[in-house]
Amino acid sequence: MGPSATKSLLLRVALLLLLGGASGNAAGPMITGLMAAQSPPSGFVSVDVGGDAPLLVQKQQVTTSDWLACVADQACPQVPVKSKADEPMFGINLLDVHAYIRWKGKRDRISYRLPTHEEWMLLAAEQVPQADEVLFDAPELSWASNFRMSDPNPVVEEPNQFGIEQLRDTTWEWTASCSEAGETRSGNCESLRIAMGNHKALLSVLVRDTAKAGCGGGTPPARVGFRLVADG
Amino acid sequence: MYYLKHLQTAAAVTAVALGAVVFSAPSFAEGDAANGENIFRKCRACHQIGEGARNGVGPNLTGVVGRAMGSFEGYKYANGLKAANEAGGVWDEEMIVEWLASPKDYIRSFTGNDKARTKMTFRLKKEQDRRDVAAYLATFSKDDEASMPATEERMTHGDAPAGDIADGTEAKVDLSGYERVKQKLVMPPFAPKHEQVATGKPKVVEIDFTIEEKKIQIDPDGTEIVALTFNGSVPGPMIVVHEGDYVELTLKNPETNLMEHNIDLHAATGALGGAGITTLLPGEEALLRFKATKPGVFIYHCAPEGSMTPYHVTHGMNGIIMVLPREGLKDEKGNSLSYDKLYYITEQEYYVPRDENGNFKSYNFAGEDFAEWVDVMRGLIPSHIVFNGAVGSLVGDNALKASVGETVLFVHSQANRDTRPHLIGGHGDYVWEEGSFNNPPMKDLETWFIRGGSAGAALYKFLQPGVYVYLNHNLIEAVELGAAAHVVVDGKWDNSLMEQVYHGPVRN
Repeated sequence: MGPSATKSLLLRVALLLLLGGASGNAAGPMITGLMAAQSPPSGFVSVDVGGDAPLLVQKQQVTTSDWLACVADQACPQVPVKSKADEPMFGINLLDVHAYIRWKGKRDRISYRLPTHEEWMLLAAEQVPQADEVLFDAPELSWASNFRMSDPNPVVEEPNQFGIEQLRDTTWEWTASCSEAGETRSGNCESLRIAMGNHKALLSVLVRDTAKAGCGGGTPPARVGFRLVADG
Repeated sequence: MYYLKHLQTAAAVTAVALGAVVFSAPSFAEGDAANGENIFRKCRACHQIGEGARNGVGPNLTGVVGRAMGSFEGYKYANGLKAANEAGGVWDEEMIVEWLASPKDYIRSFTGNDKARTKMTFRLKKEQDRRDVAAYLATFSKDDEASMPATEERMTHGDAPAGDIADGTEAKVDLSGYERVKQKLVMPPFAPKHEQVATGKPKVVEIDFTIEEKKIQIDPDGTEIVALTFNGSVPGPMIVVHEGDYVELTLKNPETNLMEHNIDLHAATGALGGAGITTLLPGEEALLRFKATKPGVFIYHCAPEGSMTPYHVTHGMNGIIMVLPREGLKDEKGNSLSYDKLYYITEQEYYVPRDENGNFKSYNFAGEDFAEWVDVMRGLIPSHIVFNGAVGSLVGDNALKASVGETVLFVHSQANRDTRPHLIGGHGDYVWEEGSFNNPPMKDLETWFIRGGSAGAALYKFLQPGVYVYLNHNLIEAVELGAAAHVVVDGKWDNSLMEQVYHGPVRN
């Protein structure tokens, strides 16, 4: 094993620790010993997405002022702030997001987490952009069936049927999910996670400036923030 | 049990519909499947349908009409459709029309359980739209036997090529009679062992490439980048095959990597040069097979989406595949040409970002320099232009070597920018400037031109010993930025070609 391989291994181990033992599809910091929320906390709605319990979903993304409260408590890292107080906070990587979740979870005594990719899609089902027309039908051409250049991201201002806002915003959202191939995790869960907005993007969990950067592949979103969910 | 009653109603409605009387919705026309296909684009974010369709956020919908409710294998249904399945519910078009109005209300009324749940939150408000979609779904139920649901979901980025290799065995190419050989790859500037004239029939040549993201030093000052490499070297190893051979390239992106990669080979035909079907997340592997139909020297490179393509290429992910004519190289009259040595030179530029003091910055993981690198890259002024990965990689102990009387084939590429190789003190006896061996070579050139995104080859027989500089004859790029190599040639000096007749003080 060469020095670079060792380094790579160390990086992966460090990531594993930072992600709180993340190994699953919906991995995130688990705060044990806390009660599940009985009723939606302020700013949350209760949504039925087919699970055993309703999902409590933050109606808006975490704002800059929310974030700064965590920074003021020295629980979140100081990062450049580029949005107004009541606008979604962006420019934060997944580790920063987890710091916020831990801080907010302790304060509210609620096990917050990020939505999974599936949950996000179900929340946004009536707002996701419709697929382009399929260019090719043959299975051998599936790689090119919906090839297109990314469209600009249209913003949807109105709340959706659940009263949730900003699912289609210039600021996209981190999810808890890794890439999946069926039941099997595909790709590197410690270092790449899905962000959702106009389409699915895979981002390095370390990258804050996604303006042009950090996408494991594909066209990365310009801004990535987050919203919290909890199991009701 | 409410659902039993409901099932009977649904059956009755179907029976009436079969009698060509549209009884249930007199104010609406029958569903228009063509329009339904158009509306179904709203559903595609979660559902796939048709040949090769898989479960996604929602289940595969191929053959859903006439199928047991909640029965697509491998999909995790919520409790509502599970109960409907256990109760023996079977979808028909009319039920789907109702379902689409509000899946939650429908499943609760269907099961008679007001706590029944479904994952589906999407609703279609217009009844005609629902009828059209149901009619479209029904078109996939004509021969349901043929459309078995698959359970795999694959990652796509922005609906771009998904690297969607289902199963390499389904290709119907008859490879019986083809001998299989595994090419033993070697580090640049050398070529793997190969025949200049092919013996026997075309073969299947197996190539194994493992993608490595690794820190490399790119100049003598110690500047480092996290390079993206095929097999750990910049450039990637040279591949050599003959026209008519099949190349079977196994591309591995180990889980230790952080980025998505693929390969586009300019020698291949189809699928973005292979990039469309080899796109790999860390932890994935692809097997690409293509026929080498055009003889020549070609580049290969990584080609993900958008800015990632130049980013990956300028981080080292490029190299050369040489496809030799089966009879070997020929001059313009068809006489055979051969070489004693082959040197493989890939020219490559870097755009290393600098800090506020003007020093090159360094980074620790692949992709970390992306934003800054792209900013520099867009200025089109490279920080380094190098042969084979680093300034000075082919000088000193690593200089290329030859002897007087030996013929050397210099194969040179630049995946991105134009360049102009020149051998100081020698020539290009035969030069395939554009790379194609189907064109006659140009003869006796002083400098030849390699277009960005291509490779070329120059054959030269060394006639004098000494040190030759082989460089990009933009001398700023060669001397200041690094695009230069040395060729050390041993042998006996030939005064008939050149002689130092006098060297000393100015004579009167």
